Amino acid sequence: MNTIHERGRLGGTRWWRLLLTTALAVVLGTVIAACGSDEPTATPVPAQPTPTPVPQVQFPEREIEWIVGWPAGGGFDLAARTIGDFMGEELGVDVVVRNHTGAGGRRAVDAVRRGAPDGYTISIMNMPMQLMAEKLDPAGADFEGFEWIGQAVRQENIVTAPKTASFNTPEEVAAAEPRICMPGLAGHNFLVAAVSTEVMDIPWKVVSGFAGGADTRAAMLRGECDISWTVANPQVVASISPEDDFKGLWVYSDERLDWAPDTPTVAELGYPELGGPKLLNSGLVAAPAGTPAAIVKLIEDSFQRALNDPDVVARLREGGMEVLPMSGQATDEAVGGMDSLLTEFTDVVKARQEAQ
Amino acid sequence: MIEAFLEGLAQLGQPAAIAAIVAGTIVGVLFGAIPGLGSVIAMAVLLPFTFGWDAYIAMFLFAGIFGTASTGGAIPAILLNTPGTIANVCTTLDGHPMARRGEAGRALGLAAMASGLGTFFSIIVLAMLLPAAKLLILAFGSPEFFWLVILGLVAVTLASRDNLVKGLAAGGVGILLSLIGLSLVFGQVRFALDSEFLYDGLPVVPLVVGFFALSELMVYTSRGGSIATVGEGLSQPGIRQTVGGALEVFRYKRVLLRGSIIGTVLGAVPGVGGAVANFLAYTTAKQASKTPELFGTGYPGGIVASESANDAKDGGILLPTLTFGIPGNVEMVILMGAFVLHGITPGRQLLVHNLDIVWAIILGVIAAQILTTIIVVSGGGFLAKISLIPVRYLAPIVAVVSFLGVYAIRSNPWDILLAVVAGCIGYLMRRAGFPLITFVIGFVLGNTAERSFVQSLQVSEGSYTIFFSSPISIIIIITILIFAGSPLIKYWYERFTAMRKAKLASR
Repeated sequence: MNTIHERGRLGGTRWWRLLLTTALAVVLGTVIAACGSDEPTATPVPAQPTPTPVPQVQFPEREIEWIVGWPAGGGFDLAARTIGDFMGEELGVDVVVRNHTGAGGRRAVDAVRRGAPDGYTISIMNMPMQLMAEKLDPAGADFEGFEWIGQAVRQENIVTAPKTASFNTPEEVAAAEPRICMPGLAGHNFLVAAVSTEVMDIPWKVVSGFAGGADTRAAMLRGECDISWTVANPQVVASISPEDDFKGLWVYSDERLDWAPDTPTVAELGYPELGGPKLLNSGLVAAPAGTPAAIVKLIEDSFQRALNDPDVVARLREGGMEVLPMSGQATDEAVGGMDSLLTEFTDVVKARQEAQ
Repeated sequence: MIEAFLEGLAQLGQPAAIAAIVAGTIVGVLFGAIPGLGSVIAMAVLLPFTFGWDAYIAMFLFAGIFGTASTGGAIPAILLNTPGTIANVCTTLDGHPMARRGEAGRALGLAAMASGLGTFFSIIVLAMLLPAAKLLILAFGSPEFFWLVILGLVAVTLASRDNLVKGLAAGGVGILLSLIGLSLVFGQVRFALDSEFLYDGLPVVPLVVGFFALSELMVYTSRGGSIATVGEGLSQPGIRQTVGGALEVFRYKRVLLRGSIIGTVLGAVPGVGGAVANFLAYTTAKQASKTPELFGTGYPGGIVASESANDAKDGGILLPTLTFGIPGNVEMVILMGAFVLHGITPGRQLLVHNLDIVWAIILGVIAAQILTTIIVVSGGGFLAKISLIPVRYLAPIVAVVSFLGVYAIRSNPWDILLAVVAGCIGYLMRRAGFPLITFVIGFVLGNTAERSFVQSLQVSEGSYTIFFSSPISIIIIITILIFAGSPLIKYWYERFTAMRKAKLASR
């Protein structure tokens, strides 16, 4: 983390500042010269050609705070820091990551909901889980008007079982009535499992409360539970390799994944409605509602450039995350898709949660 | 296994790792040498600052701290007749008389070397048990794990022998508080009073910092003055005498071995810890000695017994923590907090997936212990003087650093308030004689107990026979019964012997 920061300091920031100052001096000099004389020769000075229209705002003038609802060292934290360093280098201010840990990531959502719409506060949210959490809350969900910057990272979903398991397809799973291993009855994996079991008509029998993925896999080996819905982090990927004890049953992406070429997608198995981005664990970035469009555009452009930077992408892949750049507009639509799917399944998820 | 060991060893070679161990050791010895400010406070205060560090480096720092405080604690025990940590009580019995005879250096050397060798012994035992521990993990399903947690809770409650009822009450309140917040096993938020702060449950670090560090500071501040008063005849120990003392340890091989074994075994029992190991090793050494009358008069063997046992507990106490995520004392609670902070899930899977971290800790403890022995032998006399700094300077510094640390973890100002409230409650509990350790272990294990209980029933689909269906469960249940019945057995035995004595007397 530090190395990138230092590089930003030494390589990027000063360089940009120098360039900006020079550019400003040139422009100012021209303007003063133009005002100082009525000579017609000074007027038609063409403006420096810029790729985007120059916004009518002075932004950024101070550091930008990027709120992460999870502890330092986690996947979303890594994403925010890596992308934030790149953006800071570009924008010429520090992008400071603040870990507002707690309440299942909700403090990060609240930061955007209550934050000043000036572009100095952005936040990364765990979707669609965060949306589900609020839908289950009697107070209701309120993501209205969030200015979506884009998708930072996302993780694939995969269903795994011990290699010795007799079932492979959803129909076989439904017939075998396996016990589902579930770390917690509140997180992302729970949400995907709850919706999938409903759609695939798989009976809801869970063993819950495992302390993370490794504990879940150990429980499957001990025979305490039989099947697991999980996000595809590097450990899960390793666990379904030929040498290890597990197999992948299906994935939720549109295409088969490079690291699991034998595992079919849900669409191939006849459940296209579960595929695509709707149920993937995505880190979506937003600014508060009402942030001026020019500022949002500035942040979004820098954000998107970061996601096209090979260094940034390599670092995030190393952390087990997929980088699929998605524009603010596309993100907004994806959230809409999540919303309609979850609205349909809120009662199911609630019933699954309370079935214990 | 070998791979993970080499990985840990390679990490140890990094400059940052060496710096972390050196820093941890210095802090550990320093905090150990200041009576009342043990490794718990050092770890709790520093834990949040490691946030964002490489996990290895953080583990090296903690390995440096937690093993060395009880060695540092021997310094004021010998020079000032004030034990630096509760595990150094018996060191005062022979250490201080030696210091008054002008043999402070010899006593310090004895203590440092006995501590070092005790740690080595227990760490080697731990390392030998690790391969077997991996097999155990697959044998321990939810029901076995449930009983293991119950065993830990029973053991830690019984360790508060002074007042069993207060121990039970403290542990019970700890368990109740652990149930606040989102229950992963049920997916429901409980007792959170609609507050976002309580959604994740009470955070353990502010709680521990408040309960232990702040309440201890309150005790000292309310007393005023400095932590230790100058012992008369305090002479600056000479280095030659100290080295001589260090070599003298090998004359007490049997005492050393016995102390190390007692420390290792008792260390592995949750809640027992260094204080009991220290006391038991000292008394057994005295009983087994041909010259028991020399104990308490400045006898070197007394120091060896006391110090080897209180440091040998470090290896023992790591065993349940690293293999099952069951912390035996507050230091281990904080170490587990450090795991979580660095994205390592403590518990049964640690040995399978983070064996390199386990080795890093083990190697870190060994490296730190070597360093500590050198520090104590060369600079013990100087370190003892810290205890003479007035509390009014010392306490605010430690308090401010604690608050900074508590805030740094989640940038939540309410955590500071929680630490303050916990500090006040901890202070009152101390005054009223409630054991804080039972409370904290109850708080850490309560949730786990519930989780493994519900998990077992989910696995068996509602049948309670699962709790009694494996040999491991039965063995643990019998152990629990023996533990729980021990006060009763002791009572009966005493009554029986008293009756027999009375009969003999009346004859």
